[in-house]
Amino acid sequence: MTDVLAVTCGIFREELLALSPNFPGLRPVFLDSMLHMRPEKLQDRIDELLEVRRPARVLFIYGDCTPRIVELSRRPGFAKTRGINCCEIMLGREDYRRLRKARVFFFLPEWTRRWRDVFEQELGFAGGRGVEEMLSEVHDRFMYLDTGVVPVPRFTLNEITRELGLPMSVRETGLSRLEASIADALEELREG
Amino acid sequence: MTVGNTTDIEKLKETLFSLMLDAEREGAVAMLLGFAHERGFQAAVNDLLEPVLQRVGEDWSRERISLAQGYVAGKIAEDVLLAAVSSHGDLRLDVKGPVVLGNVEDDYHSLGRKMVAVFLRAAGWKVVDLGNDVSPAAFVDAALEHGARVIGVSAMMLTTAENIRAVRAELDARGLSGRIRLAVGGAVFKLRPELVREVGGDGTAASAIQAPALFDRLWAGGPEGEGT
Repeated sequence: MTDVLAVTCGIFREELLALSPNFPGLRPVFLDSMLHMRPEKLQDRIDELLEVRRPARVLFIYGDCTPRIVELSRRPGFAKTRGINCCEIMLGREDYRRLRKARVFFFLPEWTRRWRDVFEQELGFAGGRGVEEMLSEVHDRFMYLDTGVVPVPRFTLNEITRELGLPMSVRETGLSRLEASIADALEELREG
Repeated sequence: MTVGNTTDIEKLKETLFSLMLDAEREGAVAMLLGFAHERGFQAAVNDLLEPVLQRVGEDWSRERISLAQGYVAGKIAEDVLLAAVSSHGDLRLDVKGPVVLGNVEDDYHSLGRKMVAVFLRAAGWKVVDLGNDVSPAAFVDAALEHGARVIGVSAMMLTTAENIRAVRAELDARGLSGRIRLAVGGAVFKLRPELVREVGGDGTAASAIQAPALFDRLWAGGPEGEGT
């Protein structure tokens, strides 16, 4: 297959770079994962990128973070990894749904490094006021999804638990589901 | 606290708004309870809490305030409602409805729905909250069981919003469309207002604080909400 522009959430940067030898035709462009918190800005960035690059084929390595991704992925020449968000992409639908029902809040490696940005800057819980209560209303525990690409950041995970008040567990996901999801989406592009 | 003229009320509103934005939950609740002690809970809600929440809601819609600030505002409202219930005060609770709320199948973003529930209760609605990931049949069964004429369905993303079609189909299949109205809401409807119609919604509101007005209209079978 000719080159495919892989518009990729920055949350998958390390993982995609690790998988890149398996997908030689992919040309990844990474967008800041914090755009998940601002879907309109994310849409604008995607539109700008496609306007500048005008690619023949596009693969979104993304969840359904903004309607534009979903709408574009339904058009010929576009495809998307299957999953409502990055956690479902890494876990698969069944496990994701089971764990969400069990009130789990997930951390992927990249957001773990930026957890203060997420909770303090993006959500506005500077100083932690109110965040523990808000989280405990809808979640019982944290789970770090260990993709195996970077060492498990034990110190940071302990810090998150200490400051946000929920217990943390680590689950090894590896890269197999992400890899399969990318392969399936590329197959869709070939057929489309 | 002694509340006199309109100027005093305006000052109190300004103070309450600042307390909310500064996440000073205890101070805000104490202020509202002090007002309720003098004027009654109904006045505390109608004259002070609701107008300030309206302002918070407008700022929320314009992204001038954070999720944290919106959350704290909702918790303050919840605290005052709980105090009103436990004091058997004059606040008219559970005098409208009931209505059924829930997040659509596959959707787990519950904060918005919880805020809607708080503001509906503050406006006197009896709310049956079904939680997250609610199947179409469960929404309709609950509406029939409780005699609800409005179902409120929340969805965060396009793909989960599209699951609302199944709720509409369930209402149609049971011959209930028109008798039970469908309020829809969530972040995606701001980005795609046309979705309200596409998924079979009867109306939406721009923010949780505007939900009571939407539910009033839908319950009465009148014109639908914003974005329709």
